[in-house]
Amino acid sequence: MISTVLVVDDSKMSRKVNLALVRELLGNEVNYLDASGGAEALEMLQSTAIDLMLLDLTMPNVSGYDVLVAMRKLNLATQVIVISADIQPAAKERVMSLGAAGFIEKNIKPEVLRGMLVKLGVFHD
Amino acid sequence: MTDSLSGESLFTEDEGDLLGEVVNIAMGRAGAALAEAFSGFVNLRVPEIRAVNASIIGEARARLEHAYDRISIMHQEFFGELAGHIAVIFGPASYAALRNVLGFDDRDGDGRRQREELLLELGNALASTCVSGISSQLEMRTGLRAPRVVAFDAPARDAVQRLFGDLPVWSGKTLQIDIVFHLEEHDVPFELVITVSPECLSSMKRELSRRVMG
Repeated sequence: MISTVLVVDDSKMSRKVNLALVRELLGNEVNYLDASGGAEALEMLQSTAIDLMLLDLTMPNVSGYDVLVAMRKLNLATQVIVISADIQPAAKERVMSLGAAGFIEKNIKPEVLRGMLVKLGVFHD
Repeated sequence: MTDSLSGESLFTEDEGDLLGEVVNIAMGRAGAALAEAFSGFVNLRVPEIRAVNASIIGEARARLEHAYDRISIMHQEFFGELAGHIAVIFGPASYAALRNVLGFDDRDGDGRRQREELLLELGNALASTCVSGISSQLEMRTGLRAPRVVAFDAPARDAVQRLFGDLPVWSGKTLQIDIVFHLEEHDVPFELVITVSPECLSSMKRELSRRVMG
């Protein structure tokens, strides 16, 4: 049961779109948070119980990769779906090896997000 | 003189934000192409997008001259609803990496011609992927003219002089996009500088606005 979702992206438009998409699927009973960068996300992860995070990779200062590395050190168990324009196959392999549960290419398509949430067991058709 | 993207009236904050994402996605596609060519990993950084006074190019020149001793530059024009030009900057290390990874031997024969062809091929792939990535997302038609090497392993000052000396003289504000791909295993940068023609900016703003409102 998902109670809190965090959307992390340095683009305001992307945060807005991703929040709308995930809200459409998971409904209004879930608490939705957003962060505009990796540092802010890490603070929120340590202060709030977050079940699922949608994480951008290419961000200034603290990148999505940095967030994943820090999460591992801090033993944070939040499920992470990376949503990125970095579509190198090696990028996907790298984030999965750092503990991400899934990888979705930008621009995010609703059916792809839906499929990923079903696969992770946080959404049921 | 540079301005933040929404600092003046070029784009609103939301339009600038959306353009950043459009460029980000185009950069991601080009980065994937570069990674495939090198069978390596390319570190992507947030692209720099800014409004610049088209008549003032000194800042870009100074930056390139400061960053490199010797460089090669591939230049390509794009035309249509999205028009402008793109320069791909190769430092000496990026060319050496290219040769090493591809197992390319240019020591015999007409080495310079082979090297230039190599720069053209890779530069064209990066440039066309970036430009077509931006144009397709904004639904602005564009075409690319043939690429050319404006400088090959030349002192940076001379190379930059050749590049900017050949460019059309514009007036008013324009848009400059700097993208740096960093090839991880070789620790070398590949740099793209995209300059959008001032004449295209109203169409670009319209397309961005439509998507922001939509």
